[in-house]
This record gives sequence, C-alpha cells and structure tokens, in this order.
Amino acid sequence: MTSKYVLGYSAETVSEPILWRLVKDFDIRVNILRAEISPGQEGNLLVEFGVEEEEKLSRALSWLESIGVSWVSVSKRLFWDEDRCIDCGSCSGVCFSGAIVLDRTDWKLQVNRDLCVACGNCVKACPMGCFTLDFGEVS
Amino acid sequence: MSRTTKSWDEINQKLKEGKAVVITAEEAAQMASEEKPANFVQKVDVVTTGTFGAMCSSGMFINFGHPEPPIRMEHITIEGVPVFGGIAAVDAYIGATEVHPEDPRFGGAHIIQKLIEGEELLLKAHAKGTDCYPRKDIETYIHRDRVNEMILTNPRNAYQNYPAATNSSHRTLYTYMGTLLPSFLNINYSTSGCLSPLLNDPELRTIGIGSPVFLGGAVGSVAWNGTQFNTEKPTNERGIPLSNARTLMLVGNAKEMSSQWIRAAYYEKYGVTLYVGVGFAIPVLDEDLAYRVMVRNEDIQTTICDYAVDGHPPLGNISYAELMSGTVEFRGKKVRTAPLSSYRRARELAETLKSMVLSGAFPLIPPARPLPQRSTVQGLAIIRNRRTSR
Repeated sequence: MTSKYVLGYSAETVSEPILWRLVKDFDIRVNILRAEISPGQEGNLLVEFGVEEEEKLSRALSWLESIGVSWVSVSKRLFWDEDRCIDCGSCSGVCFSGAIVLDRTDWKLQVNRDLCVACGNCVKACPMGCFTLDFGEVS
Repeated sequence: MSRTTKSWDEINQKLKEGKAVVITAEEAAQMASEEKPANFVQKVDVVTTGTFGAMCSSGMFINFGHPEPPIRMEHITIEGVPVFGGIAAVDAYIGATEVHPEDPRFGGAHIIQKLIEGEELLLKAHAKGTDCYPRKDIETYIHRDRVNEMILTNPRNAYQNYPAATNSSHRTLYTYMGTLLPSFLNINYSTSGCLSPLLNDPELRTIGIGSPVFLGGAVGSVAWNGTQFNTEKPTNERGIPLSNARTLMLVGNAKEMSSQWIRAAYYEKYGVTLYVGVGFAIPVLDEDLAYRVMVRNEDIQTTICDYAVDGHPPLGNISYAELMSGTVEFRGKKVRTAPLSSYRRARELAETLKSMVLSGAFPLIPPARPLPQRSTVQGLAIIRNRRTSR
C-alpha cells in the first residue's frame, strides 16, 4: 500500500537525515513528490510512503512525531463542495495526479481524494470556489 | 420529391395539438449519422440548445422604489459593491464584474445571485440633495420582493463560438479562460459544442430582435445584437465561424430567475464574472435549418490562441470533438483540454427547454426584426490629438 503525507519540518529537525532513517530503519519506500524548504525556516515535504505491512507505517509515523516532524495525510486535505460544483470541469485540466477527472459520458466531475498530491491547482482553477486545502494556499 | 417546408404557425399548431417532435441539439447531432436533412425536417419540429458558462458582459437594472422623503441617488453601493447610479433617481445598474473595493473576489455577480436567491442586502446611497429630492443619505435593506424591477440586461451574451486558450510562456497565466499552465501544458475552451445556441443557427435565420430566450431560468428576450457583433469572421465549409463572431444582448425578468442558472464566479487574478444559462428553441422550418441543427462536435472548429502573447495570436484550428475528448495532439505532444462552461448543465438546460416548449411555457415566435447581416468589430485607436471634422 502507498499513502501520501505532507511532512512539516521544524528548524531543529531539518538537518536530520529523516528520509534515510525511514528507508533504513523502517523499511519504507519513500517517494518525494514536492519539497518546499524556506531558508532557515520550516519546510514542507510532500511524500509518498510505500509499505508492505501497515504496522511499519504506523511505527514510522510515531517516530516522526517523536523527533518533531509533523505529518498529515494528504487525502484528508482536499475538500470539494459538491453542492456548489456545476461540473464545468475547469479544474480537470490542471489536475495531474488524476484525483480530478471529468467523466466524458455524463459530464460529471469525479474527485478521488486519495490520489490528490495537494498541488493546489484546482483551488485556483475553480471559478465557483469549490475546492479548499485545509493548510491554505500552496504556491 | 418536393422539399418540405414548415411555417412557424404550422409548428405552433402541432405543439398545441401535442403532435410536435421536440429534441435537443445533442440528440439532433446523434441523428446526423443515420438521417439526411430532408428526412430530419419531416421528423423533427423543434430543436433546443443550451449553454451555461461565464458571460462577463452581464448585469442587472434595479429600481429600488422611492423613499420618503425622496432621494436622487448618486453614489450607490450594495453590500459594499459599487453600482452604477448615473440614471434617474432610484434606478441603478449592477455590473456583474464590478468588485468590492476591499474584496476582489466579491462583486456585482454575487449581488445579482443573492438578490435572485431572496437575500436581504444592505443598500447605501448618497446624494447632493435637490429641491425635488431633498434626502442626502439612505441606508436600508433591500429584498427581491420589495424592489420594483430587477431586469437582467446583458450587453454581450451567447458568443457564437469562442477561441480556445493556451500558454506558450514559462509561467502560469490566470485569465478569464481559466488557469493556463506554462509551455502548452493545457488548453481551455468555453463553448458547449453542438449544444451551443448560435452554432445551431449560424446565420441567425430564426433568432432576431424579440426572439424568446431561456435566460437564467426565465423566458427573456433578445433585445438587440450584442456588442462586438461580428458577421465577418472566417467560416468553415458549413458556414460556422472559426472563432468568436455573433453575440446577443439579452434581457429578462430576474425576479423569475433561479440561481440554478445564474451563478456568481471568480477567476483567479482576473476577477468576478457571472455564469448565465442561455438557450434557444430553433424551429426546423426547412432542410437548411435541419442541416444546421444536425451539426456535430466534429463539424465545429475553433481557433487555439496563445494568451502569453499580446493580441493572442492564433496557433491553429481544432474541432470540439477533439477538445471535448480531454486530450489533443498539439505541437507533437499530448495536451490536456478542459472546458470552462458546464456541458452537463448545458444538456440539462436543453432538456428543460424541451419540456418548456412542449408544455407551452416557452413560446415559439419569429423575430420582430433581423439582426445585422453585416457588422465588423474595430479596435480602440490611441489618438493623441482630437481629430477635426471636415
């Protein structure tokens, strides 16, 4: 199984070889999807963790927490106000993760939050303001 | 074999007798593979069209009623959004794209939608005070049921075709054509293809001044040609313009409209606009009109324009069948395409209009006068010195 997380690094932990430890000690396949680290400040890392056993994942997440790295599951960060949506599909052209697809038979928008990588493109593309990412705007 | 022609009266008579066949423009397009126009005109009487998309050039006249003592309103805001008050005492025009000075995401379109939905909105107006209109200030809440008229008056709606947009530059552009990603990563288009009203009657044989129109859920009228009305755009072999051509000025009673078909929208870093539901019922009077309404997405092309370059130069033509597929081959690579108008809602609108035609709620009336047969659009020249007339 794979799942996506946004890791929040604090200024103190940013020097630790976190990803190396995750691979070596926790047997996790790490795929970095996006990295944003502001100089001397906090950083955000969008990662995909692949594991064979769920138990390894929960151990890794606990360890991250213990060293001061916050994590939030990305699939829980995208909100789609379906009642407000008019199914225009403007968002579908800028979603490269496959999370947002416009069905070309019934022309209804399909949103799969599990595929979302929190790029924020849909938030800006939607003329009706249907999408929100709960950590705000991602540049 | 004699050619079939039908008059408006004959079609209306069939409607009255419950014998008329009314279908949507999408259903008409599907029949194109099996039927010839000569058969189609015998089988089908009316074809309904529809679109639900952003139409910036929209707005609403409102008459607030006179307070006691009366005021000749000059500087007017509704919920902080400036509205145009340079018309008589208590008339105003709410422009859809006008924005709140402190909130660029909130504007006239939202005011229009909220009034239609029956919300109470704060009206503030200031005046200099005159002998006949002594009041200088007013602050009150207005509501749909307490104002005299709410007349949606849109100077340019239902564009006959519109170019698709892409971006050659290395930065993301935020435009009225939506988000355009760098290096031709996507193409956006705005027309509802074979359902689009003016693509089903490209020479406006059945649409003119006075024509009934489905406007925002009500039955409105074509008031005039729309602004930037252009009959001279290049056309394809079916006579369909390859880019934005004719437009319509539409009016209707906003008190009868619904926010299902009138919706405020905001385009990132561009501004506020109004989504308007527009549809026409086209009578199939003869073989020529049958041929027109049977138009399929593959029969309609539009121009792809580069929004990264001044003047949005054309980069080529593309059919709506390709655009609507979701990916197109463009400059040697696969490019994603996305619509800005809702095809699902366009379909729903055409279906709604079909029921309205069948029940008699939407009248079929020939235009009182035709729209211009020839009209071009000019740019705005920068002239430094006033030209003297000769």
